[in-house]
Order: sequence, then structure tokens, then C-alpha cells
Amino acid sequence: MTTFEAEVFQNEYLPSGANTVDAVVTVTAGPGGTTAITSGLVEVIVIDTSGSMSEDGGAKIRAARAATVAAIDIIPDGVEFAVVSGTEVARSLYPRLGLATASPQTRSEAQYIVERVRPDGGTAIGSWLNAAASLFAMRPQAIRHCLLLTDGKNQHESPEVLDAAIQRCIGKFQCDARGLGTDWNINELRKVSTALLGTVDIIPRPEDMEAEFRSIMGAAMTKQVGNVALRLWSPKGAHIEFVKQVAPTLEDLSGKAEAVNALTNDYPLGAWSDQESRDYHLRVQLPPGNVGDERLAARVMLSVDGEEQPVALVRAVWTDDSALSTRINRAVAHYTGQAELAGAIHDGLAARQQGDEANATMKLGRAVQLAHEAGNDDTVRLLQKVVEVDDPATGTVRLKREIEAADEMALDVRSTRTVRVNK
Amino acid sequence: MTDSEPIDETTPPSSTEADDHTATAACPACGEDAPAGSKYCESCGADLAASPNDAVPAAPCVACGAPPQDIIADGYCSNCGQKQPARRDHLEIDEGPVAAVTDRGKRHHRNEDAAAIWSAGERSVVVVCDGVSSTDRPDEASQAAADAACDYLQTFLTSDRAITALRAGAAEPGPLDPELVERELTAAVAVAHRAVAAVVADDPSAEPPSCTIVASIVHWSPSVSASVAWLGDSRGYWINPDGSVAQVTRDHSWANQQRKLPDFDDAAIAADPRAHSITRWLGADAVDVEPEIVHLTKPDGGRLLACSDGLWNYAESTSAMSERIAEFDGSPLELSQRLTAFANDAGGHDNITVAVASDPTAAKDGEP
Repeated sequence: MTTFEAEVFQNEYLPSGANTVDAVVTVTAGPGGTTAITSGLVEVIVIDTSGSMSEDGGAKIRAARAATVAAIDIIPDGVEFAVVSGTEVARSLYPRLGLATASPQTRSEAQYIVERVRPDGGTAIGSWLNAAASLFAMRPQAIRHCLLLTDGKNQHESPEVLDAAIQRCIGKFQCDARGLGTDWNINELRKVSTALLGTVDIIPRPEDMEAEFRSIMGAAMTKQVGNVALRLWSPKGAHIEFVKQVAPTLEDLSGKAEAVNALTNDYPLGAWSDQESRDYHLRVQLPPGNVGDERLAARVMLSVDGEEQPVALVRAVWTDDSALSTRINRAVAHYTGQAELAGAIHDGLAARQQGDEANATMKLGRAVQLAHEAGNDDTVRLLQKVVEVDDPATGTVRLKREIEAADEMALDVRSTRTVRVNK
Repeated sequence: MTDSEPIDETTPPSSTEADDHTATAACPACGEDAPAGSKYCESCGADLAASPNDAVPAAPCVACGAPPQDIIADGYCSNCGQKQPARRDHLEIDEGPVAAVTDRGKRHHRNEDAAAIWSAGERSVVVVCDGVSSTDRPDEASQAAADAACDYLQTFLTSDRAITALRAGAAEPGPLDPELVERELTAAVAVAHRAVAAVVADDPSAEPPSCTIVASIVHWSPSVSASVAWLGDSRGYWINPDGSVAQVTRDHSWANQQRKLPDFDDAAIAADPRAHSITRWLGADAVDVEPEIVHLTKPDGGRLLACSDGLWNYAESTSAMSERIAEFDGSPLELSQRLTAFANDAGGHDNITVAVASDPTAAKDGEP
């Protein structure tokens, strides 16, 4: 049984009349001990084999084959897996039916078939997800991970069909989605990764794919505990304004609340590796309190395979000592800034696409300033491909006339990556 | 009173007596008096051996009235989240001739003051500490400091060393040698300092807590003398038999520091927001913990009062404090209660701690 630890960072002191409590909670999975991978891992790799994968003189499909072969290499003996090819329908490449148990023989059989797959047909991501879901349904107790690659937009089914498929898959498996090149739609893949507790990113060039697949599989194969939820109790009359994962990436979990009882909600977090650590920012509105009152704003617990682990308390203390109530908590301030950074990038790119240059310049300038202050060096580099930075400290920038589509997409899709606060 | 058998007068009390600080404390849950040494209240079954920081057991939520079973073990209501009163929110320690009351007041969420007292034969020990709110775990710091200093002084006063010193060079028992007392008070404060530093020894990320201290030994017979050591702005007063009051300590505060400068402007100092900031304290970040010490000889007798600023902020001058005490000649506990209630009625803006020591030999005479 993995035990989790949590540490709360907050200024618990509120001035008279205030009722908003902010806290950052760092959750860390303790050592899992000898009972790791009790229920097993299942991996399904879905690769886009639509006709567009034959572009660039076949470079895309060759890269996809090589990357999938490399990913299969990483699957440890005993882990069940399948490889699915996606077009306007989904088709099991290996095994023909169901799941295979990884061994030197099954891995090389799978690789033999993958190396011979040919691109042809359309793109219907909802049908791919449905196919993955039916494979995962065979092992409902396992830690279930899907790697999904597409190079195009979801052209051969309606948005409603995709949405319905995503809804059906929630809680059934986790999915890391990757878009190859620049012809895919960020919003489509982000919907998939957000609902299915995974990540989304761009693979700008075919030659980057193998390293990316290795990295995704490396992380997926170290997961030790599958069914984890952040469980929050808050007092009667309180309102949880939001619950966000803020590191390693920004994900708003507020809409994912599942009621446990009248005062307690679960927010699913998916699978965790040994020693993995993530930060959450929560904001709770409390009924008014009197100076001298101390109240709990939230009790932070974890539900691990249905078992509750108590971990940390978020407190509210009303005081008329302004030296206490005006303290700024560094973690809360840092992640508030990271959320503003992601919003500024999103708004800035949207304004740019609408031709609103003044607004785009202002928003992207603010993003440069925030990223510079917080030490998001990767984000600063991505921003520099879209704007000329005159002064990062003040956020003085000029929009670039010509920008690469891949650079714009990378900035957009990676805007939710955060840097951790230096506590 | 004094006789030719000083050994008898100075024999240390048995350890059970010495450790007993709760001779007739009221049960914090139901208010009934519980006899000395009780582990459980006979009226309501409350656990009286619990530590001062524990929540009051088996009571409905003070905020929403949820039943006792809805109060979670860590002291928070599982319905409305309210922190339930801790025993320490209002504690009374009554040893007869020495007593103390410490109270959360009305505007702070917990009591960060602490008092520890001891009395045996003709000597009394009074310690009051006030935790600094802007540090981590000041409540634990003040309790650790008060307990450590009081334990140290009690051990000293019941030691052979003290008994020998008491008899040295005199046929009649007299007050302890001031130099010896000074050394021991300094040592007691050093022990308290180490106890404060140990509070967050296990937590490197914590802001080290700090607290004030006023620690006093009073020797009541054959003549009355007192020695008061302090750091910070917790005060010692001497209450004369006529009810007039003299302040024994001088606050280690920013205001008093400014007043040492030439041509100071007293009104400007008093109005400065830093006026009450303390300049000396106990704790890991204190540079110098050698206390200031004053010795008093009081042939006419009287009482010793030690208190935190939660009281004296409402009676800052000695005349104001005299007015509060006037000719009240109730027991030390009653006087402590009375002054605590006064500070709460005046606003209770800070934690309030009052400790009073009176002549135990006089008290015995007064008994039937």
C-alpha cells in the first residue's frame, strides 16, 4: 500500500470580514514497498495510420513505426499490451484479439507487424478511444495507460461522437495524446488528455518522435498505484471555488468533483509513481468568522484504491493583527502567477489570430514578464519565437511578422507547463 | 514562625506534593471542582490528566452545536470546522499561597501565554512567558520555557546546595545569597532558552519560536525578599500591604530603548507603531539570553504579581495597576481571576496571564 504525504503552504490568517482561504498542497507518493504493481499495468498504443501519414515521402510513417518499435521495447515482461492502428476506424494490429502479455517473443511479433503497417484512410479519434476502452475493459483493476498519436484533425467523425467517446472513457484509462506536425487540432487533443488525466504535446518533426515515445513509456511503466483521488472535506456552508493541479502542469480539477458525502468530494488524480510529487492549489470560501476564531477550511485526504488516507489541514484564523493577515504565501503567489501566465499566453495567441495586435502584444508581453520573473526559462524561449523581447522585466515586446506554425502550437500546448515553487 | 530548627523549615517537600499544580482545579469540561490528583472528573468523566493543549472533551461544538461525537480527535468540528476550545484557553493553577490564571482573551485564536508556579515552605517560584505570535509554534515555546524554568528553580530550591547556602554564616535562616540566586535565575532562563529552541528542532523549515520570560523567586521568612529575572515585556510588580503597586521590571521594548537616547520625544515614541516591539526574548534567534535581574527586600511584606502584556496593556502605569488591585485582599487565585476578568472586560485583545504569590506563612496564620 502506497502511503501519501501532503504538506500545506498557506497564510492561514485572515483579516476581519475576509472569507477566502488559499492553499497550495504538495502531495507526494511515499515508497510503495514490495507490493508495487499489485494489480498490473496495461498499455495500449494507438498510432495514426491515416493517409496523411504517407506525406513527406513517407518520413512520418517511418518515424511512427520506429517510435512504436522503441516504445514496445520498453514494455517490461509480464505487462499486457496491444497496438492499435487508427484511421476512420480502429483496428488491432497486435495481437489480433485482446491483449498480449509482454515477453521477448510477443514484443518482437508486435514489432514485426508494426514495421509493416501502411498508411491509408481517414481520422476518427473517437473510434480509436472506443477501441482502447474495450481492450482496457478486460483488466478493470489494472493501471491502464494509452499512448495516442495523430497527425491530423478529427475529420471523419463529428465532434459529438468524439465528445461521447471521451465521456465513455473517463475513469477507464489515462491517455497521453501527441500531435505530429502542425495539421492537428490542439483543442481536440487537449479535451482527450484533460478528461483522461494525461498530457498533450506537439511532436514538431518526425525525427523527434522516437525520443518522445520513449519518454512517455518510461514514465507510464513506473506507475505503482492506479486509483488515486484527492479527497477534500470542507465545512458546511463553505464553497470550494477551485481545485487545480498546478505542478507539473496546470489542470483545473474543479469540474471533476465526485461527491463522497454532503461535505466531501473526490477529485480523480490517476496513477502515481514512487516518490512522484504534484502540487495543488485550492481556494475555499468560508462563511464569515469572528476575530479570534480558528476554523478548518479543508481537510485534505487521499483516496487510494478506495482507502482513505488523512494527510493535511487547511486552516483559517481570523485576526486583527495586520502583520499576520497581510503576509503573502510564496507558494500561493507563485502558482497564482503561473495560472496568470498560462492565461496570458492563451489570450495573447487568440488575439493574434483575430488580428488584434494591440491586445496580443499586451498579453504576450505580460506573459514574457511573468515567465521571466518566475524562472520559466522554457516558456521564455517559446515566447521568443513568437515575439521580439525588448525588455523581459517590463514585458516590452513586439509581435514577430512571420512565425512558424509549429512554434505557435508549441507555445499554446505547453503554456500549461509550470515551474515548481522554490519553497 | 521562625524557630531554632531551620532544617525543618527548609526540608524539601515530597516530590508528589511538589509536582502537584492542580490541587483544586475546576474541571474544564463541566466546571465542577476536582480534588487534587484526580485523573478523571467525578462529575462528568472528563480526562483531567490531559495536556493543556488538548481539546476539552465530550462537549458539543461551540459554534454550531454539533454533538460531541462530531468533534474529530484533532479538535475540529466535522460539521462547521470550528476549532474547539483547548484546555489551555483558560487554565487556573492554584497552590494556595501561589496561583496563576492564563486566558486566551477575546481576539486571539489560541493562548500563547504560559505560567508555571511552585511553592513550598517559605519560598515561592513564579514564571510567566508570552509567545511571540509572528513565529511558529509560540504556544509550545512559552509552555516549554515556563515549565523548564520553574522545574529548574524548584530543583535548585530543594537541593542540598540551596539549603546549605541558606544556613551559611548565620545561626538564623535568612534569605539566599543574592549572588547565588542571580546565578540560578540566569541558569533557569538558559534552561528555558534551550527548551524553546528544542520546540522546532525537528522542523528545519519552521520559523524558530520565541517568547518572553519573567521568573521570580520569593523568600518569605524571616524577612521578605524577592529576585525577579526577565527578558521582554512580561512584567513583575510588587504589591505593598497597603495595596499600592511598584513595577519591578523594566520592559525590554523599542520604546524603552529609545528613551535611553538623548533628547528623546516621549510622545512620539509612545505613538510609534514599534513602541511595544520587544528587543529581548528567548528563542533560537535570540542573541543574548542573560536576563536582567532585580533584587528586592520588603521588610513590610506584600505580594508578587507577574503578568503578560495582555493585562498591563490595560493598566500601563503603576497607578492604573494600583487602582485595579486597590485593597483587594482575596486569595492569590481570586486576585488572578479578578485581574484576568478585568483585562477581558477591557477588550481581551491579547492573551492574558496573571500569577500572584503571597506569604505562605501568613496564610497559615490566618487559618483557623
